[in-house]
Amino acid sequence: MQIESSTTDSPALPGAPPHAHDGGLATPRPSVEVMRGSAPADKNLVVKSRAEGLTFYYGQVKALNDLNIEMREKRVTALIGPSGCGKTTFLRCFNRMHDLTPGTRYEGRIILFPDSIDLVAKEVDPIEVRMRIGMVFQKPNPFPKSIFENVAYGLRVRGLRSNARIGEEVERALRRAALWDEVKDRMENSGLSLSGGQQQRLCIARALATNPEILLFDEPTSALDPIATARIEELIAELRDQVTVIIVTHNMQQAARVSDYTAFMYLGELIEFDNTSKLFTNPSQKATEDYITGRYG
Amino acid sequence: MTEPSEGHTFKAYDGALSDLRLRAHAMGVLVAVQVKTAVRALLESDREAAELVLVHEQQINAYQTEIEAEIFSLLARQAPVASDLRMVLAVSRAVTDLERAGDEAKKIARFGLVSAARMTGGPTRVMHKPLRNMAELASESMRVAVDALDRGDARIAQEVARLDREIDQEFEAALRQLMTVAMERTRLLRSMFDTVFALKSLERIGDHAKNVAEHVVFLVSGADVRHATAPERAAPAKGTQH
Amino acid sequence: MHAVTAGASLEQIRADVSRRKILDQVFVMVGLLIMFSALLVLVVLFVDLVQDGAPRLNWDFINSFPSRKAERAGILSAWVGTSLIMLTTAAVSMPVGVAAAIYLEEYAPKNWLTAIIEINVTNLAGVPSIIYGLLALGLFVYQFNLGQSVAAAGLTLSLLILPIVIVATRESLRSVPRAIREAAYALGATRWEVTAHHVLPYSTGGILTGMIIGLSRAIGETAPLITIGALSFIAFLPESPFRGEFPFISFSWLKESFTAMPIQMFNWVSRPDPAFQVNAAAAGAILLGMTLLMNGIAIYVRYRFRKRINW
Repeated sequence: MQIESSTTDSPALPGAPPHAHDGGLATPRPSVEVMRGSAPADKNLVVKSRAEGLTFYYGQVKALNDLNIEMREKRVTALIGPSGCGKTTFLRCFNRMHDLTPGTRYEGRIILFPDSIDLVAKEVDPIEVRMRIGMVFQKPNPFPKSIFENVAYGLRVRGLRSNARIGEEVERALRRAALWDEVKDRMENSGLSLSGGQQQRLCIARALATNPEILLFDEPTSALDPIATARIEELIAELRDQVTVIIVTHNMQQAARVSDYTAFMYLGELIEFDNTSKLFTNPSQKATEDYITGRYG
Repeated sequence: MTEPSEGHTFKAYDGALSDLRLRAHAMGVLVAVQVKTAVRALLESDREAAELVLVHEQQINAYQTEIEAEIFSLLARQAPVASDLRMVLAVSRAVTDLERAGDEAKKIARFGLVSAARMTGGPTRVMHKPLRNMAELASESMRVAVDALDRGDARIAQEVARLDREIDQEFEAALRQLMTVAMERTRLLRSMFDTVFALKSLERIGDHAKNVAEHVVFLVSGADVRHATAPERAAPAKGTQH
Repeated sequence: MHAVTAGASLEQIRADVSRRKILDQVFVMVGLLIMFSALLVLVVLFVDLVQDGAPRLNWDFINSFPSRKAERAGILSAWVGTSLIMLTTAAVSMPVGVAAAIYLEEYAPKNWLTAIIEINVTNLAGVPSIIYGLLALGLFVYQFNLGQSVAAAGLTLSLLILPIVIVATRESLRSVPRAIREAAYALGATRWEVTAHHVLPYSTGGILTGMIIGLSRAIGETAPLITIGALSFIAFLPESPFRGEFPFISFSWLKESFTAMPIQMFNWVSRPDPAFQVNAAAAGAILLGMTLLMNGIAIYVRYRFRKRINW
């Protein structure tokens, strides 16, 4: 049996994907190279976002080098790699968090479909980007406000005034985050009165309340105990089919459990990107193999 | 960020994996030896050789038990992935085949015991050559397969497939020869049945060796070729690019 | 004295620990001693003041105007003046100080200009208060033509405590963790929204505390007030801020001449008549009481806010 490896280690995806006939605004199919690695059972090959030649600088230091990767819509993509490989840096490019630090510079593009907007372009307002793309951080960081106000904040910022509407959306978000039953009787309590795992779910609810197109998770469970971790992984698995998720994790087993696609990065470069089952049973690159089997010294 | 090292960062894991390979190899080599000893016991009605085979058969079973237990523990504790996982699964499957091959050798040795007891002289002279040939081939085939497993070399697995085809041919030829003999000398029917069974066992051993070779292909590339057609097997499988 | 290394017996370890703890205990004693000495001084001072001023610590004293006769002299105009000045100071220094701190902390780019501003703000805290008086005299009293008024006094003291307010506010703003800001930004908030909805509200405790500490410094400042012309004999009160008729709030008191508690005390202390010394002591006790009260409020405010927000 001929086993083909599908790697995206070439500098650029060969050729642009074909646009639909209606003028190029439809969500494109992924290019052929990447398709070959897709599991046959995956009917959803719609691309939500594509990084093209993304390079990033902290001042003079090049932290990311020429990344080309596609994120599938409503699927979970995991970014793994050793410390300092740039996975968190890459993640933060999606919602322009680097703009808060002076001296940072983007080159290349991250295109968001279906509007084909370049997320990292200077002309694109970072606030606008952050309205569409949400983030959950490593250490749970709820506001020192009530649970209700925590979840409502994103809605208020968007100008939602009606208290009834806000109440509905808050409940919906808390249900999606599997937290509603635990807090519905104490919505006025401070967000800080919850346990670590609950706080993180509160942060997830807060991010979900605004219906983001992409939800970014930056090592969401590294500060939590195993049971809280398992609940959040379950939550992420449930979010599949609803939201496009990109998750950075240094726990490989977590990436293996939770994601549909996994990207392995090293020293700011993309080494391998493939279906999670393929990458963890038969990776194409030796570097990937060494990392996931624990052969790094 | 340090360079990738030769073994796993967790050295005990490394040790466990290579220990597994060593034991599987030792088991396989023992099985290969058993085949030849068993056939010798049959052909020469050698009681001692037959009993030796029976004793070593217990050793083979013990190997299986130990290796399976080790694999169980490794899977639970180390959660191997990628090539490590494939290796562990390949060894697990191969050990099953090795144990069964060992059983077949035991059956052959038993025939030897019976014929020694009855002092009937075993298989007719004319069948000695085919039996010896097949024993050589089966034993060789097993040894090659087990080497391939130890080294993780899928190309050698091709060699095993070739040997297995020879075994099958020898089997067919031996059966035809036996039928000719049977028609001429019906008195020797009992020993002929034994011969047929011995031939069948040898053919089976060849099959088990081929199975082991298929597990080696899995180990290297993750491809399951156990039920694949010949052309699919023919192309060399590509594994991790180095 | 031998070192206790691995393999030491239990007795050896115990002996070693007791020996080392002695230093610990000595330090605790010394610390307590020093602390009590300082407290003692404060208490002695306070008690002394109260004793000296005891004859005059009554409602009459608080409710009477100054007078040439010691037994009839009171601090009414003085404490009203101080209160009005504090009101003005707070009203001016709070917005200006907080806004300046927000700008420096959240908006200013990290360049040499910002660095210079920051250095100067800290330097201002060390400028002798009489210099502020001179500045105020030239600028507020004459240039701006405010005259020797409550407004001028308030502005002067605002300048004086501005560095304190700015630094305290900045510390408060800085104590809001970066994670909270990031969370707010990640939800699509603008810089102003992050500051107004999160950073400021969570820093309120620290800002108020800084404000009150600044005021309790300002309440005792004498030199600048003298320089800009505080009078010490005011037998009238400025017009009340509250009127019976529309528009109910009046600002005419800002333009009036003023006196303040420290001024009054200074004036009385300089007189030869021992009866006035008693007055001065009484006034001093009341002033000290006001200061301690303000500090107490600051501590209470900080305590209440710290219960709500625990980073």
